[in-house]
Amino acid sequence: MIIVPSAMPLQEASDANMVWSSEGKENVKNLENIFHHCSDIVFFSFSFQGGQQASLIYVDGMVDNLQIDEHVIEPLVTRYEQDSEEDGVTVESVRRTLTAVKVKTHTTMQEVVELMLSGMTILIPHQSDTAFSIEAIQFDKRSVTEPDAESVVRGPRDGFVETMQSNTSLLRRRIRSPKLKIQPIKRGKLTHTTINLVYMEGLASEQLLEEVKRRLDNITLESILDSGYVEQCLEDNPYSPFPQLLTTERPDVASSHLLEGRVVILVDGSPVALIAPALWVSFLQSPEDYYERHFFGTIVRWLRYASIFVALLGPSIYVAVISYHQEMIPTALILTMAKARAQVPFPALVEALLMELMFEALREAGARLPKQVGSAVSIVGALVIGQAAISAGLVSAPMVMVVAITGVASFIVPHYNLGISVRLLRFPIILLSGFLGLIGTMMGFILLVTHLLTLKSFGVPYLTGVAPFRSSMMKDILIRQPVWVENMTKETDQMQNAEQSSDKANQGNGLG
Amino acid sequence: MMRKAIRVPCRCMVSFGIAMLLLTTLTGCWDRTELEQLSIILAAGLDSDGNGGVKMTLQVFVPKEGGGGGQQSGSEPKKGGEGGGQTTVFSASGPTLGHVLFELQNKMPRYIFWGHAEVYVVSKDLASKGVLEHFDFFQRFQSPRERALIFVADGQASEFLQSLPQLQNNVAELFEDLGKSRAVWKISLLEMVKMLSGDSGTAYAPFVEWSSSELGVQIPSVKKLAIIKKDRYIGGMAGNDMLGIMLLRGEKRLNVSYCEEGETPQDCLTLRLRQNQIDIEPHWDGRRLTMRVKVFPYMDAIQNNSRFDVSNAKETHQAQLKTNQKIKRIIEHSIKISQEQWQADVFGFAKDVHRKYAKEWNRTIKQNWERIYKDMDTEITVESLIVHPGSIREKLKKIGER
Amino acid sequence: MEQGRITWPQLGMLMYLMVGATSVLIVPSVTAKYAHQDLWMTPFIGSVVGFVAIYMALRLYRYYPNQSIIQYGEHLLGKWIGGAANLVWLFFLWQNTGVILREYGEFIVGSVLLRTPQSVVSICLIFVCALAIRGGIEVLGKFALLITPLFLGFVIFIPLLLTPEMDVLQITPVLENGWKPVLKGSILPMEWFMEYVLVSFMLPYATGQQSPWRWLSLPIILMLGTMVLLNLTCLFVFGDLTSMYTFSVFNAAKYISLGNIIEHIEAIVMVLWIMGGFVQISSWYYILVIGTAQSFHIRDYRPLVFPIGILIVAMSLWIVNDLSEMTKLFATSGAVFAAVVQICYPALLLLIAWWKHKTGETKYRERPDSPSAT
Repeated sequence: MIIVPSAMPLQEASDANMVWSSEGKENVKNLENIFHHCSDIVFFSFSFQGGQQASLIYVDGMVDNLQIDEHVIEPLVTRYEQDSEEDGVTVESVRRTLTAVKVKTHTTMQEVVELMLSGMTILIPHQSDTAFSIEAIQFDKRSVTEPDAESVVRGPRDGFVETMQSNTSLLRRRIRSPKLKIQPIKRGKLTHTTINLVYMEGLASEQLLEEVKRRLDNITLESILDSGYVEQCLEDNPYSPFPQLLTTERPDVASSHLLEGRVVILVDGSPVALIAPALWVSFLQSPEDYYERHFFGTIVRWLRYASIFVALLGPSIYVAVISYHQEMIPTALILTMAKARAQVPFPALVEALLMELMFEALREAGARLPKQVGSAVSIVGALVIGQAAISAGLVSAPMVMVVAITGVASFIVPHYNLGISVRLLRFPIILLSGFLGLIGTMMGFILLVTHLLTLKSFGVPYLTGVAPFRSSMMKDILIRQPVWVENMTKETDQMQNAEQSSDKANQGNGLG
Repeated sequence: MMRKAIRVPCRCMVSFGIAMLLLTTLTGCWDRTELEQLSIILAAGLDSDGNGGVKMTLQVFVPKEGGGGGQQSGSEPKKGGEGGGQTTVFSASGPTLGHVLFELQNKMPRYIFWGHAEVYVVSKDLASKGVLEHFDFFQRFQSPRERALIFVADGQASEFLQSLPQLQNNVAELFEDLGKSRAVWKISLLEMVKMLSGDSGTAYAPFVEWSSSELGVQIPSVKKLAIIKKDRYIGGMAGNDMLGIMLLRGEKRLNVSYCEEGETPQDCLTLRLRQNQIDIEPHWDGRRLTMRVKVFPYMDAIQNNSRFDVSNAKETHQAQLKTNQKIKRIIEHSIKISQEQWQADVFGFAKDVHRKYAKEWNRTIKQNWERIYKDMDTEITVESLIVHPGSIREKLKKIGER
Repeated sequence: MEQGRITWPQLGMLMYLMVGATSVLIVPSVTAKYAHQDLWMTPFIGSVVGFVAIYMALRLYRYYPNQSIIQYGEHLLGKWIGGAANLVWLFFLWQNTGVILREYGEFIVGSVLLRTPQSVVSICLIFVCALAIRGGIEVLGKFALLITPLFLGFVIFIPLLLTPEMDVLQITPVLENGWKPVLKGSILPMEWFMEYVLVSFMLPYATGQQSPWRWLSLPIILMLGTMVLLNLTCLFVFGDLTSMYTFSVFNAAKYISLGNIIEHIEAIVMVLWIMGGFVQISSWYYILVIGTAQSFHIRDYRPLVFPIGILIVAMSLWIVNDLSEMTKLFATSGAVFAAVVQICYPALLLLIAWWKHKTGETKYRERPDSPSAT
């Protein structure tokens, strides 16, 4: 999907038509000019009971026709009573007639246009200088279903959808507290996308809120089609391979982070919510850790820590060991491996790069293809990086195993975007290992860790808990403490402390 | 707004990328050796080449499927079974091992990889001319392993490397299994060097010989311990003398059989060693050395045809006394042989003396150790304990008589 | 100049790795040469020097809490003498960083990557370190705190995995030849413990409520434990052969074999080691860079990082021709130079500072707890 930024911003579209006149009829005409060639805009003229002419303007498909009929047109046509004889339509009398719908008045063209485009019905009496916006929005939306990307075995099955109202209501239904604040901001010069800043008052620190607001204000994008656009504008270090905002489609995850004092950013039209600040450890936590028994949660966490290392370093260690440190392999194994590799034409480094690339290609193909064809890909994939490749003598069986293991390991990471960066980063590390053996692997690892140490998410060090060491956070990192011990507020304090100390140490390292 | 913050990491990233590219493309990888470029050595044999030099034989793994077989470079006839193995043998000779390695590398174009060579077999001939000069190579050169087991071979070491074992995949495995079967036979390169450089200056190593199996095939087996004194092989101790060394060195995997004298061998009580504790206490009176050795073997009965009933406390005690005598005789004889025949302190008594009499050791004993050792007295106490009578309490023979 | 701050625990661990990582590499075999089976005692004697060094650094820190030894050296001795002394200090740092880099280079090239040119290894190491120290002292401190558990794990696991091979009786006879060889053998560990005075470069950036004394004694005690433990391991495994090896702890690690699976793990041991070594090189490198910036009054140290890195690589290649020369350097001129710079000079400064303080010249000394300095 490519956005061509050729269209000019709305305000400048047709300056002559953007003027608000005191004559309602004139305004309707201007609107008609603005929306010429827009077949989905409906201009509907009718007369009030007293004979006054008026126009209803709305976007077809975004409006609840039944409601408009019953609660707008019908009362106006049958029950409208004029206050005074000589004047045209007054605001009071319209308000008095329209009792069943929410009505607001407007007197600028820009307002009217924006509201109409977001689904409001505009009523302009021809003899009035005011326009009325009537809220009777109804459009097609996806129902709340379980998010495919973050499925759980146990836990709530609802997920965010593309509609903002549904999303905010999902959050509100979980946290029934007046402290849950939702602040809208409109960004995107062309798309006018609503971005909602959601936080818990008193739990989220002021500094964090200000910083998030500042960064949101600084967004100067023309179009925002997904929360991904916003995410890229909010990051501290846009060149880092690591995601610096947590993303989720699950309202339960978003709520838990809200309750830990983080800020959730909802973008209209995107089912993916952003959570800031994000810590490295939160990328390795799944909501199910908390829903299942805590032993299980702890063990699964350790499994994830192990697998992220395997995913990152597995192939590079294999390359290093097999082409530099052959003595490390047990004798019985190396003899079998030597036999397996005797036929292979490529050096281990090339073999590893080749197979990893192949694996990535297959993964990408599987993700993009329609579901019906997906199974075909997996069959071909199993053949390509599988038995056929080995029997053709292109790769050795151990390499295939390593690639498969790293593949599985990288999918264990519960947050897909971290999985991507880990998979991406293993290529340079494979190269380094091919160059200096395990020392190369270690250098790559050190470079990575130093990068992670400099990285910050909204001023909070990325590795908080581990690298500015917080012993109190260890109970959620090393183990998953039973829920009945966990004290939410304490953890929030921790976060704020971490922020403050880091802010002190690092002033103005953010954007702008 | 963002551009300002971006510039610095951008430059950094670019320079890193260029560096990576240069590193991987321009310079090359000096130490990278693919697995298929290696000739994996499984065992090395050292022989004397007849004119003062050394001949090294390497057993090399053949990575080809079903490979191996008659690819020997040497023309020696094979002992042991014929047939396709996974290994082949290369050998070369020269004045020193370093030189030989160079020769071998020319002979076999793939890089000689020592990382998995776990067995070094040294022939008796070479060992009697001195071993440390050769071990210097193994210790100094980075790749060979210090944990590799040392064996002294009766005859040509290369012949042992060419044999095809019946149970194991290759000879190296056979030797490793031999080493694992007894603690005393598991002498690594490091331990050997440690013993030779230690106070006693005497080391021992398993001595492999050819013995014919029932099928008429010659197989390597260990029946003796080779004694290496001051860097040179001087002889071997077999049978009960070897048993004595094993007992004093704390060996646990042993069977001791006590048979009553004068009666038929059927009247034997066979015991298996379970635990063996040794306490050595030297005593130096200024001129004479007395070694007070206490041995506490804990044993299980595994066969009992003797007159003692080992389930009976009183009779067990008598059996123990008899066993004590037997073990004492074994050890005494073993020490005596080492004193008189070899004048070599294979038991490492020197270290114990050094520990207890540090001053005297440096002043007098060290210089005259050989003489003092020869004249050394021994006081041996054995306190054996038959811990378990076994699964049956009574003797089957007795039941049959009933 | 440096905006980052590090906490006392981070500083402690940084010091531990900064001094400790190479001590493990060379010290056992060299001390064994003199002290034989008593080599485990030598670190105890050496550690006294460590405490003296820390004491001096902390006393001077009391007088000048926001300055490094370079800065108050100039302040105390005047522009010319102080400047000259600083140049000597910088040379010392340069030389020692070069030597440390060389040690790692020799180690890697001499034991694992046999055919790789040493310059390549050195340049790679320095490059990684350079990138790290551009992140400032904060990155170093955090990294040290992350790595220390790994490093300690390696220090503990080598002896643990070697227990089947150990002969505890190798330790006897204790003090066979009296105290003299032990004292002689403890000169080398002393040289390492002296380096704790370098903490005075980092002290201005330390923050936190913890007690400095406790967190700076900890690395000395840890290092003492490390040295004793590894010396004993070498002794128990190799006995009198300890002095035979160039890198005896590495050889001991090579000897590890547990159930035919954990075998030949020297490469892993080496990697953990170099991990510690990375912290060590980076902190020396960092001190050198920041010292240069301070003595020439340069605002931002970052532009200095890469040029100085090149100088360090050059020094590492020039300083000695071979390993035996390096051992000789430790035993002779290097030791004297190190003692003069690291013990005598700070002692002199402390004396002057104490005198000036007593006579009331430094009345308006800055608060130790004011965070922003440079």
